Amino acid sequence: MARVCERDVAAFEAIYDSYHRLVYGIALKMLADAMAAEDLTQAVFLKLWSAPDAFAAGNFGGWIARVTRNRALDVLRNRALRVESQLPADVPLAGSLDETVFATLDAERVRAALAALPPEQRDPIELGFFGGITHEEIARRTATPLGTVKTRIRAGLRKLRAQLETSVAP
Amino acid sequence: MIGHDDAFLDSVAVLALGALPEAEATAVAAHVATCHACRREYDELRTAADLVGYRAELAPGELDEVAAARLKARVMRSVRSGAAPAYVSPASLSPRRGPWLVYGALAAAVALALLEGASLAGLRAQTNAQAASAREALAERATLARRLAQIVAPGSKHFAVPSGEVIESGGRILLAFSHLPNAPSGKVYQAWTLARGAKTVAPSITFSADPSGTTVIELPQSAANLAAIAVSVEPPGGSRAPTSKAAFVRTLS
Repeated sequence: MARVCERDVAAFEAIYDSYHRLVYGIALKMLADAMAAEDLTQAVFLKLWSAPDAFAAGNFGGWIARVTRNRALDVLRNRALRVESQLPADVPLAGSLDETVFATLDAERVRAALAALPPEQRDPIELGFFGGITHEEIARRTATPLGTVKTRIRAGLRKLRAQLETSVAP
Repeated sequence: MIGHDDAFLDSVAVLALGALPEAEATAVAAHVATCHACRREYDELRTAADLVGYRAELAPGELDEVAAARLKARVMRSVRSGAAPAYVSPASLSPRRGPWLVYGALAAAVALALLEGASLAGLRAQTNAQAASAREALAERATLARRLAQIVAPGSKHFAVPSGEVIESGGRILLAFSHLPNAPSGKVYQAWTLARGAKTVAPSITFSADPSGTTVIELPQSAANLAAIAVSVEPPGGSRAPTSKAAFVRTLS
């Protein structure tokens, strides 16, 4: 990323090659439209090129996944023709993250940790991330009490983090 | 003061996932911003939540080879062409240049890409790098040909705008420009859509032109229910609402 900050096109291209299947995959899953997913992928990578310092530290894949999700939410809002969304794209919070331990996590270990979650925890987490819907809608769709949905999301994220910490432990 | 019971910490987790309704998210975030314990909980779970996106990553080969090459060509072309934009006021957008300049350039690009595709195809076996270039050229040709077909399709509607046209074709919206001035340094163009009955525009994609000012873009939004298209100059990455006076606003009627 340091080379991208120095406007190194080759470095940017290497990052594109490494992450375009992640970005496009998220866009396609959320938008269910190949052309729209291509446009979104282009927008995400051009945003990366124009403002590479937006990525501060931590796991780059996780960061660009969140950027992609937020962009996809914008498109979904536009499709719904709603002036105001019920779901914020993100809630930025100032502060520092001490997450360098996760910086080197590879995609395979992340997918394995996600797959290891019990379905009752993984499903609401994936619905919340990819579905662009609130926990109330998750509760309605899964016919699960709202409080249970929230508890399962927290437990699932805790378990996911614990598994990833274990996988990167020296 | 908001307590730190399990119910509230559950809300912090849903905030980290990004699935709290806006009003509740604002309230929980306000507390998290000032509470060290909740902030730590949020940061830890947010890191985990961000990684959920990996569930959607396509495996190598899952993305169609031609589509992948076309997409990469689009991105890299934008990166290379936007390396050093010069400032030209949007007000200087010329309304006099005809749209056929765009289509002529587009058709020429298709023809050139055909030639490039044919010649590069012979080099694919030589090196991986050359093969990648050939795929990019072929994908480029496919994109250009598809957009040209959309532009000249029977029933397509053309609306004149400064330096080009807005085209409604097959339920899609294309913007075609010739001699589009470069966006001011550090800025890009951004398209906006106005739905019928809406009072505010919605953001669409950002774009730039090649050094000759020629570009044809397709908006991700469907043409259905759109009343107007606008373009303004915005910061890289685009804006959620226009931050500059529109270069043009074109009603689709």
